[in-house]
Amino acid sequence: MKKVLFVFLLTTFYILFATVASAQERIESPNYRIIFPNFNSGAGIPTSTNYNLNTTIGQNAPGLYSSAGYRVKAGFQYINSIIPFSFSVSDIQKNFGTLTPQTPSTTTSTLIVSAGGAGGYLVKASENHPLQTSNASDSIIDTLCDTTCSESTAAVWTSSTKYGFGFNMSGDDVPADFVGSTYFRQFADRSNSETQTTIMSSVNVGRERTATITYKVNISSVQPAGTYQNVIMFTAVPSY
Amino acid sequence: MKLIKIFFLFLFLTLNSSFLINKVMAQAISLSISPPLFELVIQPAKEVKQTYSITNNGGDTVLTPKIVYFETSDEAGNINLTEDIAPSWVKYNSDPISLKNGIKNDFNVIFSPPKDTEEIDHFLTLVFESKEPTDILNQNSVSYQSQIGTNILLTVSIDGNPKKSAEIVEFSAPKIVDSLFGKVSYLITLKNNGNSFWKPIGKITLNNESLKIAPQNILSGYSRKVRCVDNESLIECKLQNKFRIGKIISKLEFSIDEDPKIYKSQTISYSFPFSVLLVFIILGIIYKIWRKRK
Repeated sequence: MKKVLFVFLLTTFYILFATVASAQERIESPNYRIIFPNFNSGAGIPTSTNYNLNTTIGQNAPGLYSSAGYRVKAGFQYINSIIPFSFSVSDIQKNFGTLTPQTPSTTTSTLIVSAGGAGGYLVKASENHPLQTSNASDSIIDTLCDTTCSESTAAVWTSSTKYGFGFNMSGDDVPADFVGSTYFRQFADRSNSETQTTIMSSVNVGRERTATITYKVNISSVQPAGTYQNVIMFTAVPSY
Repeated sequence: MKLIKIFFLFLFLTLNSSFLINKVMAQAISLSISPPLFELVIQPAKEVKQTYSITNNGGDTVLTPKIVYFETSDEAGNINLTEDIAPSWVKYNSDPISLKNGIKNDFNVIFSPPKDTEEIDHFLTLVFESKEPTDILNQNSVSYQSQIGTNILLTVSIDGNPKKSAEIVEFSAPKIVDSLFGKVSYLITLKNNGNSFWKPIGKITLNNESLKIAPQNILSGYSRKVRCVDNESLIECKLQNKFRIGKIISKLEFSIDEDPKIYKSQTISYSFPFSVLLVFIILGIIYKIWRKRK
């Protein structure tokens, strides 16, 4: 009986105190430490004279501060600007596994953005080059979808005889041309001097704006064997 | 003996879950930067230091900082990063920073324009770029790299009072509004014709109603569609539904920053119960048809 009780106690302690594994990386809660809490306190606010400063961190009171003939403005800003700008991607690498001709392979990641500051934000994406083998001898083309699509315009891609690599977006703040889960775009290819394109954007302050990016690869039966890889660059910047 | 075995098993499981599982969680990219916007008007030959805080909530990473100029990409306040590096008097340590999971790093930027610096605005973004990942699986895959930025609006001014000038490019509302179901919404586009960025401070008024326009930054030489603000939330400039009839005169009034000059514009709409009229017309047609058939 004692043994049973001891095992029960240990199990209870384990359940209570063991760290719970989370399947997905989450960004921190909005309760961040304010870096520059108050202009008057001087905690982190630059102290040099002869400059005007508008800090986007919350202040006690709006108004002008006069010093040596110059003005320092420390007005309370119009939005909840104690939210730092945060960006997270749920993975660092996604596998497609073994590619089978005319059988599309898909995989997904989650993007999360929190934007305070001046309000909105955008996330752009690009690829360093199309999916290619390490010696760049073979590559999988960027998709043209069933008819035609580009790095800035999504289109339906359901045909198993249309080959290439592309992505779909769903969730918060995604471009309107991703009408549904069958709509895909190709990535802007930096090796081809294409500029990054926007995949998430908003003009509003937002916490944990979440979108799912779905990658799709479909190869033909004449695609040479090999390991195909590339690197996707995400650029997240707030509005001004 | 059995109890000791169970105890060690418990200890192993606890240590495993406390340390190893964290490492599994850390296989993502998760960066946070603060403050998200820094605005500064500085006199040449003066110096200001700003400390940024970059936090890594993802996997261990190496971040490379850089400060580049940005261009506006639209009239909504979004930007495009350029390849142009900030002037040399914007000083920072460009060495890569190794940042482990859960660690915050303070990053200093010093602004010290020399005496002869031209009195212009500099629109910059401090960018932290994660290093290209190392492939560990050797499978068909995509890997990720990320950049996170924070914007810097910087004016160099000798007297601290650069020329500021505004132009109302657009202040409009629908010309005709239904009294019952129509909403009076406004479009505002302001342009900065001055030498320094500013924020509009003002409101739209209509009799006893008013909407506060959001003091969003408008950069010199650019225009921006300005929104309204309500309780720290950016909203569309739209009046609440209310029965209105006749001529509606909406007035826009704002100043730029602390400048005393007031900029004004107005727009006229006409409100009428068109929906009620439509119902009467339809009823009249139905009645006529009914009479004809009779």
